This record gives sequence, C-alpha cells and structure tokens, in this order.
Amino acid sequence: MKTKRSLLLAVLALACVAVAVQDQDKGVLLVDKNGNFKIYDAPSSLFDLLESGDISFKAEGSPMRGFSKQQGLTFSAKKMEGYAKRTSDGNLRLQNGTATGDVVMDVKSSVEAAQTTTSSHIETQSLKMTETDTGTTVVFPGPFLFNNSLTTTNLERTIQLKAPSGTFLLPVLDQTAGMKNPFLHADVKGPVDVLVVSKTKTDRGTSQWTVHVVCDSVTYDASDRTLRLLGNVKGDVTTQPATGEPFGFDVNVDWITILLDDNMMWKDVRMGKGGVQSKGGGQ
Amino acid sequence: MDVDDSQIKFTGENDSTAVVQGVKGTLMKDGKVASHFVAKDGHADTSTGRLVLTGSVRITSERDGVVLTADKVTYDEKTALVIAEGSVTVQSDAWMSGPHRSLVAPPALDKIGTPDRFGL
Repeated sequence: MKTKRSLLLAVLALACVAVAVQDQDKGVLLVDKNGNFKIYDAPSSLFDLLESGDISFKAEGSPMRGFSKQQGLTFSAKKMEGYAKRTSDGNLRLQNGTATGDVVMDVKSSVEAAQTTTSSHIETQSLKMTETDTGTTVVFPGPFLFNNSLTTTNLERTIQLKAPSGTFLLPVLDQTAGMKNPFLHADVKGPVDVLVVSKTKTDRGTSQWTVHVVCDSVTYDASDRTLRLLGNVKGDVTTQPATGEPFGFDVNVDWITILLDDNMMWKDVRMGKGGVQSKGGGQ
Repeated sequence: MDVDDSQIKFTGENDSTAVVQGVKGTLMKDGKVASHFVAKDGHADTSTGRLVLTGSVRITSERDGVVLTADKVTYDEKTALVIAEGSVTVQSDAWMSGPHRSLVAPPALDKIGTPDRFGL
C-alpha cells in the first residue's frame, strides 16, 4: 500500500515537472506592463529593442498567439513578423504585422452605452496589416475569409466575404467602437463570394434582408457609401418584411451598385445588363 | 570583459582561468560599455574567451536599462553573444519576457531571441 502511494506521488511529481517544463518552453514572448499587449506560445522568437522603445519582433509557433486589448485585436499564426510601438500611456500597440500560416485574426469593439458591438473575424494563409493615424490597411495576397458582424439594440448585420485576394482599409482599430461601417475602402478580386444578412427590429417585428452573390470583383468606398459588385454577378436577394410575405429575386447581371445608408442597409440598387427574375411572394 | 569587486582565484596550469565569487562587472562592445552584470559565481577562461556566470545572474543593459536574469549565463567573446539558461526573464520598465529555458543576446541586450535565431 505504502509502495503504491509512493509510486503515485512520484508519478504526480514527474507530471508536475513535465507541465512546468512545457510551460517554460512555450514561455511568454512579450507582455507589456499593463497586460494590454501580449505575444505568447512562440517557442522560436527574436525581438529587436529599438532606441525609441518600440519593438520589432519575429515569432513562430504552432501557432503563436497574441493580443492587443487597446486595439481590440487577437491573432494567431504559424509565423508573424511585426512592429510594436510604445505609446505615451506605456502600452505596446501593434503598428504593423505580416502573418503567415493558418492566420486567424479577430477585431472586436463595443460601446456599452450605445449597446453596439462590432467584430471582425479573419481566416487566411497570409495577411499584412499596417496601421497609420487615419486607418488600418489589411492586405490579403491569397485566399481569405472576412466576416464582420454588427449588433445594436435594433440591428444585427453580418457581412461575409470570401475571395482569392483583397485589400481593405479599416478605421483605426480602437476607433471603430460604435461605427456601423466596417470598411473605409475595400478592393476585392474574385471570384468573390459575398453574403450580407441584415436583421432589423421594429415595433412591428423583425425584418431581414439577405444578399448572396458571387462576382468577379467587389469595391467599396465609404466616401460615397457605394458597394460595387462587378462582373458576372450571380446570386439572389431576399427580403423578409416584419409583416407580410417575403419577396426576392435571382440576379445574373454585369454589375450591381448598392448605395447604403448609415446602418449599411441598402438605399438604392442599380444593375447592369442581364437577367433578374422575381422569386415572387409566399416562399 | 571587465570584472571588478570580486574575489578572484586563478586555476589551471597556465593560469588562464579564474574562478570568481560575488562577481560584478561590465560587458563591452566596440570599446564601449554595453551592459553590467552581477552573479553569485563566475568562471572566466581567457584561453577560450568565455565567462560563465552562475547563480542569480543579472545583466543590465547600459542603453535602455533592460534587465536579463537567469540561473546561468555564458558570454563568449568570439561570438560576442550572451547565452542565458534556466528561468530566463528579460524586463524593461514597459514590458517583460519569459520565463524561457534559454535566450541569446548580444551584450547590449538590444536583440533578444531563442537560440535557433542565432544559429545555436
């Protein structure tokens, strides 16, 4: 009995040592004093400590992970090279980064008072992001999935884009709180798969607007709030009013331009040559 | 490398090695002070150009005040690299890194990485 207990204790002790060694191997690559910025799970890493207090880093893991709370950003990838800037409040902030291999990035912001939450989820094999004073450019040289969702007291909207490559200009990441418009500019090369689902709550109930199209390219510019779906635009648009029958139509046209309102709901839709077939009511 | 304020005992046939207790000193780069170190024990070998520090080793960079702590640090004059082993942490006034099993850095601690990043 005593031997068994000793053996059990020895096994437990060995297990504890193994866990401790494993933790130390993974280590914390870097965490700032306020716990705002952290890079971890990076068994291979190198960082240059610049005279300015900024840090240039390279990290690899399976995957390596990180976050920047101030920017509402979490990320993981097999490899990442980046530049973390030291801010006046003592935090580190990801100013640019190139990530490769199973890249997953999430950006989240919320304004409690306005009960508004916006989040973006990105999956790709390669991504480059650069932050300036006016915005954050995200370049996807290869295939990517970009999923953006907005939730307010009366609106739930998701935009999903899948494409072989694209470039986005987003607002400065910690200035997106409460913004209903996730992009300042987008330029996406196709074939682009676009899915927009927007649900609006009203006194009469919930209405839903769904657009699912595939096209050759997509551009969007916040200055004119116009989404341009260009080349071989095929898909369908469905509207489910708060009361009454749903209606919708299948499209197969050269192009569609959609003028959006403040809530990124369509205000005006124009289409090029092609066929539009009504689905009719009662579907 | 400079070593001061220490008890030094020379050993070996050619008096090329020194065992130092309560060691404190500086690491130089290009004739300038790059960092300062303290450790419980030190072992310097002039024939190999290696300084081995053990026991609560602490290296502080001259430029940024970045502090590296480890159980053992080997400074190789030929490669001009500091190899830190055992519960290695690096800390500045703004951030910290570690614990790591092993980290490598030049004496100024202005570039810090895992051994594979320095070809080790």
